Amino acid sequence: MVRPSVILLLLISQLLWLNPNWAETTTFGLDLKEYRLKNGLTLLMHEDHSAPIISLQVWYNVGSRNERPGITGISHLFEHMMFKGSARFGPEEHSRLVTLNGGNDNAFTTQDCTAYFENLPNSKLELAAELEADRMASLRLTPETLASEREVVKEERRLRVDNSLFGLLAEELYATAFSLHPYQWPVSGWMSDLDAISLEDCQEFFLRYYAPNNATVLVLGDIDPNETIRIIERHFGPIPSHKNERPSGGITPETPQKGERQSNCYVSTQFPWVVVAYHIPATTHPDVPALELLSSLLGEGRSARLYQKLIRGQMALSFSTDVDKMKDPGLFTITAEGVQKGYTPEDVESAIYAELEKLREERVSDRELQKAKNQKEARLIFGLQGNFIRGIRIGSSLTESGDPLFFLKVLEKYRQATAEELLRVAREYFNRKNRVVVRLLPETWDKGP
Amino acid sequence: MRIIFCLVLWASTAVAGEGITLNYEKKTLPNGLRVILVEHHELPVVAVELMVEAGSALDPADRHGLAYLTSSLLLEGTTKKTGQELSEEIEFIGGTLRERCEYDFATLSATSLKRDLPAILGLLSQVILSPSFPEEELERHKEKSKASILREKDDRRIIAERHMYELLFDNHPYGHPPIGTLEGLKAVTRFDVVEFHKRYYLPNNSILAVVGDFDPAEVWKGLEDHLGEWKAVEAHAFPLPLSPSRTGRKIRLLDKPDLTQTEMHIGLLGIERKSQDFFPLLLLNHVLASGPASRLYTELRAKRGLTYGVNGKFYARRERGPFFIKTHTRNETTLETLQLLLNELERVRQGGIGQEELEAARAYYKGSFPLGLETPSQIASQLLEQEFYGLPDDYLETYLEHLEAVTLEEVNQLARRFFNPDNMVIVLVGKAAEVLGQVRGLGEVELRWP
Repeated sequence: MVRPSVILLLLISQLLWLNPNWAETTTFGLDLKEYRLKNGLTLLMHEDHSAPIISLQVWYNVGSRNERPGITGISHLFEHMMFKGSARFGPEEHSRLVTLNGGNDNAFTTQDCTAYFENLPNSKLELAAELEADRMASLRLTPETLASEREVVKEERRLRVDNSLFGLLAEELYATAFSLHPYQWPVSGWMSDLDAISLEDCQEFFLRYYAPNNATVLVLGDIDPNETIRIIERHFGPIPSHKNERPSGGITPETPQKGERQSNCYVSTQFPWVVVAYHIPATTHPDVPALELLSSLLGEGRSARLYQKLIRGQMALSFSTDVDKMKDPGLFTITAEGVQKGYTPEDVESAIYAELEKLREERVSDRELQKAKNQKEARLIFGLQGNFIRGIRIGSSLTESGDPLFFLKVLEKYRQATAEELLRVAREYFNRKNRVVVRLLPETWDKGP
Repeated sequence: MRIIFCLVLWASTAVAGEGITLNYEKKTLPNGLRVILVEHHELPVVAVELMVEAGSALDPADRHGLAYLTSSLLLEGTTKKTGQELSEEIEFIGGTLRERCEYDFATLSATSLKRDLPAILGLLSQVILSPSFPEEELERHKEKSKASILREKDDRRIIAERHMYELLFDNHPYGHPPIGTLEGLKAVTRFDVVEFHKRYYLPNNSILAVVGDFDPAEVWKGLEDHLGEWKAVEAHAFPLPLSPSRTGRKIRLLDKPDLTQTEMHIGLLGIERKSQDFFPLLLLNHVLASGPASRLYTELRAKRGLTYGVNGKFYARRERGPFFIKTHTRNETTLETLQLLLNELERVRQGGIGQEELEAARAYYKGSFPLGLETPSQIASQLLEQEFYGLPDDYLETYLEHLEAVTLEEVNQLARRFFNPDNMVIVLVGKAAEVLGQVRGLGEVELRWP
């Protein structure tokens, strides 16, 4: 059943604005080989022989969006349980073996996916495959390991959310912006749910989502594709696929917002923080590349519009703009981290609205648009350095869009974007009805009934 | 056009361990600038990094923050362009240009697509050779630094780190953070910045690395065009005072009543980069406190779920830098966690580590060596570090031999010397109302507010 298909993507840029003496064509490609096992597991391979190392990654198609109230945080808790032993390996032995062989391993959970990885010397591919396959096939879930790992996960939540201004702001933002869709709860889960999740919940979760037909294995680096297929077949091939018992369409989509939503949180901070956000569509929607270009214009680099206003204008200590790239509709965010003395969060918000208004009113200049395009392109190419990072880009792309190379294909969309399109997109999304504003304010500001 | 003659020239194709070949060229230009070129043609991108011995350790005692301000102001304008023009120009070609100021050095780093390398080299050299240091930008950056110092008091990890450095290094140049202090910033004038730049931003006090997809001949030509005029100044050694060798045992608790989790750092004076103890400490720390198989990870996290993370790290600098173990736990388990940590340190001091543990640590560093030399920027940063700290030219080539040579006896001797409980500094950031009572029994606790 060897049916490797080759997806070859060649990107050619002709940037005519350059000084003709420098003009050169930038070309690069990313060669991915795809192979599918009988049990439904997808294998994607990318060869790179520049260093004698490999990265093996297993991407499961499950994240906090697949949870329900009462067991929020289970995807992430489960990710931790995956290190607590399987049929052939004891608790923590997975990481110990990887380390012993000079590698590193870890995992992460997002709203849309859970991914595990091992970065190792090239001779250790089989070890990584063996370890990953064993826990996919036969994870050992015991009351003892659940009890201790539950505490670890609660500590992680305290670290990343409860005692972190970034975490608090993000959690409140999504809880405010979404009232129907699962993006409303944090990946780390609500504390009370972390206490409530039972061993049975974990077992059920494992049976439902941890199957070869719900996973993609990525292998990158100094590999031989045929040998890699043999290794992956040997270890993952015998794992039976699951009948598709996943509830179809079990995720409630968010309905369009009918009016602005706001939230003020009173926390221990000296400087107020504020995030201005707008609902935007899912990654694959054709408006997303234009939104990304708008995000660049506003926030990428020192020449960006909001840098001028907020940082050079000394209104905020730092800020960032971001476009969610998610499976389901997410948010466009502008976050001011620390509003300077002498200004209120409302002053900062007004400054942001004034810049957004300009984007709704005036065509951006050709040069500024070209700058944003060049920034996106350069950033994308830089993001391809190193096997591990490359794998993360490919896996994320697959998660968000179903296409492992979607993120490269978007490059063409950036290139084609016009000032008119940016104007239209700014008008469509940057409006008050679609807006969510969340502020972190010093506790002393909480006054009156 | 001036022609640059190379004082030293050799093309190195070093073989570093099994199967790893590092292709790089190293030269010293007549003005003393050391240049490292690492070619890598996989992607059409280039990165340039200039490392200057102009870090915060060279701040005058009454001007803490001067080095940091000088480095930040480099990007705020030259005699030919305003800061705004510089950023726009570099960002228009999709490039980046950033500065960073550390304890031992300041860096300027730029990235661009291959085709824009000449432009990047031009801008970088303009920034380094003819910054204008506008008065109003200095004032703005001083305000920004002051506000950042205040904002740090909202972050328990930075609070702990700042106090740790203060307790370990006191008045030594490593005792204050690169960003400076409120008093120091107040005193800095434009004249100070100009003088600092004149004194330390010298070619013979700097190392330049160019990494990525380029034609070496073009790069040498670009360097000749742009940096040929950079003048060396004689006598450019800026020795630091020795780091203190003793701190005595200290416990400081910073009260932050909103916290539900105590941040805890245990600190010791570590080693200098050239120390013979570097490899033994690397292995010892791995066994004790680094990675998912370490003793502390196993005891604190895997067995007891007391923390999400525990990590030991040392910063080997020009002079002795710090060694830290950092962790956090919920308020109620502060004492339990701290006690376990101290017990483990005492256990390793008295009993050392076992041969099997040593071999596992050695296997990790041997195996992971190529992982740290994968991308051109990783290779460049290794070479820059090696060059900056005056490590031998065959350092990377002999790295594995050094690892192999470390004996159990050496490691255990180090453990006995190193983890001296009378020289340990403990910094806790947490809710004093819940934490102070717990830790009182460990010794005198100094209670402070961030």
